[in-house]
Formats: sequence, C-alpha cells, structure tokens
Amino acid sequence: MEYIKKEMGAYNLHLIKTKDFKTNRISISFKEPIVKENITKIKLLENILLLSNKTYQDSRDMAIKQEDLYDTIIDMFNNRVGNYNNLIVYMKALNDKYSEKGNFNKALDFLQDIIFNPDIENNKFKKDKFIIARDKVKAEILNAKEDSAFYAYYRAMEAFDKNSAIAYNSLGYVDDLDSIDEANLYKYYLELIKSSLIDIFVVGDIDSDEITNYFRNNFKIRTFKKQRLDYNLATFKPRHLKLIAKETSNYKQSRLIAICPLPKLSSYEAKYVSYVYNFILGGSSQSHLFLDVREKHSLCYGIGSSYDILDNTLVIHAGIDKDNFKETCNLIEQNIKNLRLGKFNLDEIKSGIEDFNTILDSILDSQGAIIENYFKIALNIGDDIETSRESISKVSKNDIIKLAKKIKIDTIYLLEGDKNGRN
Amino acid sequence: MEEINLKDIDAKLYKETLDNGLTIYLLPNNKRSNYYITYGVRFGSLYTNFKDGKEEIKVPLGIAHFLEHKMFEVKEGEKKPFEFFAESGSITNAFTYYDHTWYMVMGTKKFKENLHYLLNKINNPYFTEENVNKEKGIIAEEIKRSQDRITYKLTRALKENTYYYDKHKDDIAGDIKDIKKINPVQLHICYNCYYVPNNMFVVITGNFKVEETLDIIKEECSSRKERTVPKDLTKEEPFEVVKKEDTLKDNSKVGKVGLTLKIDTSIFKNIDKVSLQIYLSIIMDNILGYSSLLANYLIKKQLASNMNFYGSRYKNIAVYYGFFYTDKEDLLIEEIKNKSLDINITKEDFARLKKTFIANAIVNSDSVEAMNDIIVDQLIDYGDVVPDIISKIRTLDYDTCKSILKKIDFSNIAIVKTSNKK
Repeated sequence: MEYIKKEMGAYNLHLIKTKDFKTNRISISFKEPIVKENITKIKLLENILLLSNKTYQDSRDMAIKQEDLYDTIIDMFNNRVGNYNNLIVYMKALNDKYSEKGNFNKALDFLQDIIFNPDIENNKFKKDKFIIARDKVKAEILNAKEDSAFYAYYRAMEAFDKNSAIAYNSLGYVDDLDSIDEANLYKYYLELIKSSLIDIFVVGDIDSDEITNYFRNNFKIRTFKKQRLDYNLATFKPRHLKLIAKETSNYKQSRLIAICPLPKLSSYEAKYVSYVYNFILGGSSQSHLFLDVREKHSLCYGIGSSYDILDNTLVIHAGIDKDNFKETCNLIEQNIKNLRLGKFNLDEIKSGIEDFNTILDSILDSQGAIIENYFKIALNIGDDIETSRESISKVSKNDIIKLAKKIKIDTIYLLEGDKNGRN
Repeated sequence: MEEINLKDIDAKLYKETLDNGLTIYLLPNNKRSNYYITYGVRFGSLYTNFKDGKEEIKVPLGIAHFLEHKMFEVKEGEKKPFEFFAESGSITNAFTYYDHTWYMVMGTKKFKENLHYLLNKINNPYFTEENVNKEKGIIAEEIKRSQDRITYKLTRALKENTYYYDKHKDDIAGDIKDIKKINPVQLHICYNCYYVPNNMFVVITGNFKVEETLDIIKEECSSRKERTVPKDLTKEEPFEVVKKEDTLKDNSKVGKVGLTLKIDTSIFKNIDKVSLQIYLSIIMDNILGYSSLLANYLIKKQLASNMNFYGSRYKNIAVYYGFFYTDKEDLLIEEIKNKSLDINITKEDFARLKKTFIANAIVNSDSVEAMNDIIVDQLIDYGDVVPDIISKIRTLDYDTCKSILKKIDFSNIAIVKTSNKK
C-alpha cells in the first residue's frame, strides 16, 4: 500500500494505492464549524443533491445511472466531529478490471456531476424537488424521535449541556424546516462548497497522477481556507452535584445514559489510555459493566460505554427495567470506583491492548477502515499504524488509574419505560 | 477434500464432509489479516413442535434463541468464552435466525487456539437451573428492546396477516411469557436432537491454513455421533395470505404502510432454486427498488417519503416485504393496487439489474465476513455452496424472467396501514 497526501490549495487529496480490492472508494469530507440551524439544511442538501441533477432529472434516472455503472454506490451522510459538522460524500465503484474499461472514470464524472451540477433554476433549487426532500427529512426526524435509543441519547445530552454542540443531533430539527426554502438552501449550498475544509480520500488500484489531474481539472473549488477553530470541543465544567434527569415514556424498556466529562487529556491519554480504560469499564463483552450489571445481576441485555476523544466525554448506556434504575446506577458507580481503586488485573489491560491491535491489523482489510484511519490522522486524533501499535503497548496500570481518577458521573438521564409498552 | 475453483472471484474453496456428516467449507484469503469462523446448526426459531423417533415434542417459542444464549455457559472456575477470545483481541458473537443458528469468532491472532475453543465449547454445553433462570432477565430486556423498535408493530401485524402456521409469524426470541417457561431439560432435548454433526456446518473464511484447520476440526468433531434429525410437525403453510387488508392502531407521527407478497414457488417447476431466487429478486427490485417506476411515481406524487423492501424464502414459499413512509395511507394503497395490475419488466431493466447482481457478487468477494455470510446463506437455502454464482447470473435470460413474472399472483398480498391519529 502506498499513501500520498497532496495539498491542492483548496483541498487535501489523500491517495492510497492498493491492489488488494476489486473496488475503488472515494470519501469527500466537507467540514465546517457546526451551527445548529445549519444541520437541517445539510440534511436537505444531502437529499436534494441525490434526488436529481442537471443531467439526471429524477430519482429513477439517478438510480438507473448508478445501476448502469455496475451498481456504483454514491451516498451522503453527515456527522459531528467535535466542533465541526462533517458532510461525507461517498462513492464505491467496481474497478475497471472487474467491470469494463472506463467504468471508474464514468463513475467519477457522475460523482462530480452530483456535487457541482445541482438541479437549479433562477438561483434556487426546483420547488418540486425541494418539497420531496423536505418531506423525507421531516419523516426521518420524526421517525428518529420515536426511536428510544436516539431520543434518549440526545435528551441526555441536552440535560448535560443543552447549549453545547454535544446536544446537536445530526438529523436536524422539524422547527427549522419552516425557515428553509429552495432559495436560501441553494445559497447555503454555495457557501458550504466555498468555505468548507475539504479532505478527499481515494483508495484502490489507482494511478495517482491520473487521479490528481482528474480532481485538478474537474473539482471546481478554488478557495483557500484556514482552519480557525479547534476540532476538539472545549472541556466541560463539571457540576458540583450530580444531575439526575428523568422523563416518562410509553416504551417497554427504560434507557439509562450516564455522562462523564473529562478534563483536557494529553494526546497519549486521549488516544491510547482512554481506549484501554473504556475497554475494561464497558467497551467489551468482558468489561466490568457487562459482567457485573448484565451477567451477574441480569439487569439488562445491552450495556456499554464509549469515549469520544473530540467531545472529551465518556458515555455509559444501558437498557433496563425502570424498577432497576437505582440498583443499576449503584452498580455503575461502584464499577467506576473500582477502576479508580485499581481493582482490575494486568490480563484485562493486555486484552484491551490486543483488542486495539486487532483493530490495527484489520485496517488494511477494508477500504472503509483505511479511509477512517487517514481521516483520524487528518483530524489529529489518530496516528499511523506503527506509531499506534507502539503507543498502545506502553499503556500501564498506573496510566489507567491516573485516568480513572478523572472520571466521575456528572449527569444521569433516564427515559422511563412503561410496563405495558406503547398503546 | 474437494477443491472448488471460484474463477469469477479468483479464489479457491475447499469442501469436506466428515464421516459423521459434518460439512466444512474453507475459503482462504491470505491477502487479509482477519479470519472469520462460524460453527452453525440448522436449528432456529421455527422448530418448536417436532417428532423425535416416536415421541412428539413441544417446546416454548424462542427456545432456539435461548439455547444460543446458553451455549457459552461454563462451569465454575473455568475461563469464560468472552474472556478467552478477548485475550487475543478476537471478537465472538452468536445469531439465531428462523431456520439456523451460528456462533462466530473473528480475529487476527491465535487462530488455532480460537478454533479449538469455539468447536469444543459448542460441542460441550453446560446448562443448570440457576444459569438458565439467570438468563431470563437478560433476554426479557432484549425482547423489550426489539419490541420498542418503530417498525416492530407493523412488521408483526404483517406477519400475522401473511402466515397461518409457519412460525415466521412469531418473533425469533419469543415473548417474555414464552421464555419464562424454558428449563434446562428442554434445552438439552433441543441440543441433543439438533446439534448433531450431520445437521451442523463449519465455515471459515480469511487468513488461515487449510490443512491444519481441517486437522483441528477433525480432532474436535470426528468423535461426535451422527443422529437422525427430528421431523418438524408444523402444519403445511397455505399459499394464500391470511388477511388482505388491515389497520393498525399506532400513535406514531409518521404514517406507514406495509405489504407482503406471498409467492408459491412450487409452480416454477423447470427452474432451479438458485436461478429462481435471482429471477425473483430482479423482479422485486424492478417493482419496489430505487429505480422502479413505482418508487419514482410515489416519490414524485408525494405519496411516500421513503420506501424499502426485502425478501425471505422458506420451503416453497417466498415472501417479499415492502415498507412505505407516508401521510396519505389510503391514496398510497389505492395506487399500489392500481399499479400492481400492469407490472412489467423491459429487456433494458432486466439487463441492467442483472448487472447489479453480478457487481454485488464481485464486491462481496472482497470481504472475509461477507463471504462467510454468503456461504452460510447458500448452505441454508440450497443445501450446498453455489460455486459459479456469477456465471449463473450471466446465463439468466429475459424470456424466462418474463414468464416467471406472468405467473406471480400479485393479488396475493397483505397490506397493513397505520391508523391516522396525527
């Protein structure tokens, strides 16, 4: 595998040449500082750009074109990376060797057509297309609100800090739909294309010069941008007293979310020690929370924890019966305390390190993982495979206890279920 | 050992059947770091009433899934599977389906040790009254979680309106009242009846050495005894749907319409099972897929904001499910009924969709996990692996597709809408 990074001025081009796959993949990341009101616009853009463009006038034409290109997949999704919204435009196309000569270039043309030739007239998106996209986004938001895991997660984050980007969901908000129309959405599209920080990742059996020339000639973005805002969210000020927020619902199962804000960690602690700590606490099927709350006390099916390096938070989640709320909270607190007191053994650390090593070993098995790894390096939240391997191997019991002492539950949220379930 | 050349995807598959009937499929790919091991059994949630020899046995719904949960139980003081596999950074999991169950390990290290351990564990179950009762709380929460899913009630209603006897109509995990009845004796009965080598399979894909792998499987499994698998006593399922139209009370803010099309596949006598399944998939893609006229029409007319579909096949019945998000349920149903009268497929549509099936088969071959899934699916659906699937797709012809399409009874559908309480 060969990796080249080219700074093209308006964007960075990351080229990863490998003959180990039958497809070529492209991932284009448009990052802009996150603004709550823009999230709904981004969702609308994703939908409207994939619905039609100047050449292909409706969803059937678009789908037929993709099928004709040997089922080339082109999709868009957005997520938040710390302080930024990250819109990903993604393409997976069969290599010419396994389809036909020119297939990949035709797919590339189609991709850039989708991004740069939207279906507009008089400087706005077409009304009928706008309405279709709006209805779809609205239904997706309403559906997600009825998904108890999604709903509970964001309600918990709102209880924790409703003003922080951590509480913004990536699907958008129904209330914001009213203020968006086909004209201001197009204006926003132009702004997004112009001002985003852009990284383009291409992985596959590619000719680096050819790809570079293709983007230079066709990717019509010329504005130079500077990163003015850190990717990391500012650290949260912990409460003096733990907040317990409860809400009733008519779901059968109750959802418990516990949030632990962390102070600023060193790069080594954030990238490596936190991984092993989380593995031991709730990040695996042999974690303390899994073995104690689920296996020993039979209180739940799903329980786990996750650490977000850009958000400086550790989040614990469990699906429980509402009558077991107090017992579950006590067990979670006790398990966090146990790690603080060093009540874990060296084998667990070893397993955490091995788990991380398996992830490193597996990176080259998947084009998606290869892109993800270089994306993390671009955001400065990851290292190359060898540096990562060396760093993780150094994680010691003392490192974990030092980190464990910084971890304390700040907010507990419970979406209380109803014994009888929905209506 | 049989060596099968998968020329379309530049790979070699090795097949062996042990004297006791255990079937083994090995697909090495040394370009990858990962290996993916599955040890599976043709026993799933459908089997709750069967005849073992002369004895008729009835067990509670959800028992196959319960058994799956209990297969990783160990005696006091022994190392637990999760702990054992985690030591090498490997991942383990298990899945129960309607007609089969499998246990997997995925990793990059300690292949031999992990393979030994997985086979040995599944070959030596350990159930006690205490560990069985302990699991009931865990599974109850799993059931509640799946019953809270937004399409659960609609899917459930659709199944009840589609199937008379077939247990596809019930949830794989059963209901909480069912699992309360489960005890160690019943688990042993199911294990002894179904977890026998002639009803099981090992599929391994990814980075491993064929010869030493086969030796390990033989060492762990050769001494297991073959046994006649019980006869399933579930009544034969009629081809007609149970109820054609129904309304479901739902508080959801997004209206939904679901439909199932139930197809009697026994009428297509001259077409082999594999080809038939691909033909049907192409036909359904052409009716309900993204490039279909129906999807385009419903989206343009704002009758549906989104839609998706999938299919399931068992014995001589294929069922396709379609889901539509809409706030105009009645109009949507009207249109679906109208459009179903003039369903067609053009030569161009057929050729294009055929191409997507070929492309997908090639894309999947890049993934160790996807290839393992495909081999298991083919074993379950067709009884053996289809080595020349891509060549087979290439030979499918338009006229046969049209003749199949003509024979499908598109009136045999069940439609369920959510009640409009917005």
